[in-house]
Amino acid sequence: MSYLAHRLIRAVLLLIGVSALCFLFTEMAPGTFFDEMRLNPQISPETISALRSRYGLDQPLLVRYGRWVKSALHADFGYSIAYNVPVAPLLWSRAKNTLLLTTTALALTWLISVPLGVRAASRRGGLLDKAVTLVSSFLVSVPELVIAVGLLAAAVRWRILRVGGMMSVDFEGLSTWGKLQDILFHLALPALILVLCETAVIVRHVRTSVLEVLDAPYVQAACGFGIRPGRVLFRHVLPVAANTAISLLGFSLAGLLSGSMLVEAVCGWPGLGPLMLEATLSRDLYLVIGGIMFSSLFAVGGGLIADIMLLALDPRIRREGSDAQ
Amino acid sequence: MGKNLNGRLLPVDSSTKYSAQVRELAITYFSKDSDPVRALDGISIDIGAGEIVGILGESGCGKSTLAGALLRLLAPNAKCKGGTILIRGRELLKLSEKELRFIRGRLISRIPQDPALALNPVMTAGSQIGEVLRAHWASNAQQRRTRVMELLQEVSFDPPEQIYSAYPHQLSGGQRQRIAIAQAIACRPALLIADEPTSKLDAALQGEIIALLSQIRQQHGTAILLISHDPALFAGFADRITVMYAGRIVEAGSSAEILGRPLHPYTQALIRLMMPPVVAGSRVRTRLPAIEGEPFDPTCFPVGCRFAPRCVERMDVCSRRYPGEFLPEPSRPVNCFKYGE
Amino acid sequence: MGSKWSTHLPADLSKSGELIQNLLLVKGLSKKYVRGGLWRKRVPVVAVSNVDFEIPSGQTLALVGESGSGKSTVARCVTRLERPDAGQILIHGTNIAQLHDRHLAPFRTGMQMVFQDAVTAMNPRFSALEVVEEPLLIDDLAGHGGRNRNDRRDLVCALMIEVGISPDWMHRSIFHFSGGQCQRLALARALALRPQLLVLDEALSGLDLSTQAQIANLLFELQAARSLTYLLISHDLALVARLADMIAVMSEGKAVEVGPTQQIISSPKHEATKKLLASAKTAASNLAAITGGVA
Repeated sequence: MSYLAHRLIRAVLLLIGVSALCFLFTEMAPGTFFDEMRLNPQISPETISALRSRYGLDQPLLVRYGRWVKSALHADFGYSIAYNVPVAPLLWSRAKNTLLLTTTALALTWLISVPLGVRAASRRGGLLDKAVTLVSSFLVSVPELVIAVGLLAAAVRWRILRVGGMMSVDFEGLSTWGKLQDILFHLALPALILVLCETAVIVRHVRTSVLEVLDAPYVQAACGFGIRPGRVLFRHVLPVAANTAISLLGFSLAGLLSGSMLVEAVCGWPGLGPLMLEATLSRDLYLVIGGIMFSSLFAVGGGLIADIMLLALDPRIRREGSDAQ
Repeated sequence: MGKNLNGRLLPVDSSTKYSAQVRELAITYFSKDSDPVRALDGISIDIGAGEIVGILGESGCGKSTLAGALLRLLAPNAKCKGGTILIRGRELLKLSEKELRFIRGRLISRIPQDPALALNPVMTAGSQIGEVLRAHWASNAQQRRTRVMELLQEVSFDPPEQIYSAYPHQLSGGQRQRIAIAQAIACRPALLIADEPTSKLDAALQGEIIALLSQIRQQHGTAILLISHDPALFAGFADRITVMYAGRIVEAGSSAEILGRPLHPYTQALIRLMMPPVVAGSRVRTRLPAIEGEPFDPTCFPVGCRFAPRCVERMDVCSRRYPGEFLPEPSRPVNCFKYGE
Repeated sequence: MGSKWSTHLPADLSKSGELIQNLLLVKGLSKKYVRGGLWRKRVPVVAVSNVDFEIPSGQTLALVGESGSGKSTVARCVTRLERPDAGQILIHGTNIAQLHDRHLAPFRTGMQMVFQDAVTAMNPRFSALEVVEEPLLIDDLAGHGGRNRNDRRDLVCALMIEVGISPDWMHRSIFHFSGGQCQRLALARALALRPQLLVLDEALSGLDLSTQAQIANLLFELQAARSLTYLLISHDLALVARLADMIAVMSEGKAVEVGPTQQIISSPKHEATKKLLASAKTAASNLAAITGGVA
């Protein structure tokens, strides 16, 4: 129990630290939102300084940070300067799309990788094993961008999937079922890219960790006692091999909001990635900070969930503090 | 064969004279990087029902390969180049996987060498023993639990409840070895293979483990194949001893004869190493009578006796021909030219 | 090259005017480990408590006890792999127990440690040359050695011959050596910088009897040739009885009985000693009963 509380407190401290660093780095970065405006002779300096004070940008760093923290505790994350709307709803509307994409990709990735990796490992050296190794090596070596653009080109050329954005032009006119189908067809391409890239990595790790456990003396002993291979695999091997997999799952969860920026940009998926890119380039301060904090929440949360799962499943961690008999 | 219908664990028919018979077994390991390794080169051993047979030999003499062969659990690159193994009259090398799974754990069980790695780290001790029962006994969880408690008491865990739900990392080396023994005897096998059961434990625990094995033989008539490089382990425990060197048998006989009057130079050298460990009045800091030379290289075998390069009594003929089996005394086979031509 | 102990002592720490007979003198050594950390209750575990013993130059002291009795902790404290909480560790009269790392450097070449499983103590991809050469290399890189590559190779050659491994195998990788051969290489590595004290932490455990005997004989030879002092740690009383001049029996962190080997074996006083002796004796008496005699 105290282990859990310990991890939670650490997570909160981490988030606080991230927010402080955010402010520090954005302060250190050159330029503000209004630099472009300053170049425009039609806008007077007074207007600009009025805008600046309106958004609190003329105040010292610590005061700004303090005010931000205070309002953050009330779930108010400031205003976006470019869009002139509150940050939180704006972020959420885009984050929803990203989450749709990444959770679908995550589920598919793990549903494919785990059985594939386990099967390849249990029939080591077989056809499936060799195929998995070869294909995953290839996919890991090719940059994600190349895969993304390649698949995009293929999709456009062969008109299999709908590309570009999340919805078709005539979205509003479709029935509910039609709407669902439309989104799914648009989802297919970016999800496919993500699944290909992530599966390649995860299946290798799953395969390796299962192979390692298969060689362990206690598994040999279990076979030596005449336990059926199926049971040995599921009851004796997988629970031990799951350790690595859970840590990886933690990483996957952590990247739910941040890992798909490239794909979203290439496929035009209206997610958090392009929004953050745009905001960073235009120094839209509170939107940037809000976005980073949101991503960090997932990153820290993902790690925490992985730790909790490990705690529940691995007795060695659970009993770390207790004495041996 | 297999689980019976009304849930009781039937004892295996013990009417046959031998638990296991090995005849001219030859096993070679093949690998891409080096020459083939002839781990076993024509081994023949008989293990009678309820008998304790010892295999004495250094590391690399093939004893672990023999243990693995009896369970047909060898590395994938091991190929049997000849010979037979009879388990209760049935030819082991011809059995199907399914039949083998019946034999493993039920007729033959193995006690591991390294207790630190022998138990699954994420399962409790009790459930691991239960797994072995589950594989061979149609029963429900409650029945298994009761039986596991009995087994834990049999291996001297009293009270057994605490150990039942303990994880391996909470137990000491000696305790883990006893859990492994409980797993091995769970289904009352006819033959128990103990491959260096005490080499990774403190010297003080040696006596305990041997006493436990002795008790198991007395109470249940289980035959035990004890494999070790340490002659002291066999003293007062084994009925017969077979001495192995470089994949071949060099000598065999009753325990008293082998330990008391070894005939083969290798056995003699090993016994000399054991004498006398701790006796008041003996000189301290004596140079040990070590056997000179390196353990043989398993990829290249010299023509002739394999111990010859290290033998102090080596003769010319020893490097020219392999000494066949000579019988200087009845039931005392020795493979050495000292006793014949 | 010779040991640097007598020449590199920091001036303010040297003792003067005392007749130094013991190479190693340990007084009141204590060490505890603390379980738990920032968020959990701290539970101190006493590993070693108030241990005293001494080893005259050129002799062998064996530290015997069950697993968990604290022998390895004593070894680690003596070689300063760990810092003891209390007590003195006097090397030729100088207390190194609480010295800072930079003052400790000249003492480290004088004492070396050899561990139990030689095969895992070495990188299996290294060649024998690389393994044995490593301490020399580090010494040269730190500027003390002044050797070049060929000097090192010659030294390694000589060391390998000394421990009984043919120098032709210098470029073979560790992977191809047997357990006993690896232990010899570990000894060669330990002797590279000409130490005076060797701490052997279960270095003979886990080996075949015949290999054990060979390594034990090698240790005898090396001791005579180089006037080494040994601190031998083991759980096997029978084995050390033939190797050690003195025995210190440890039980639950304390040194319960210390004395010459003969005395400990013929008249043990403490329970722990009697227990160790009993199990050794059982094996011996079983064997003697069968073999019918004592050498």
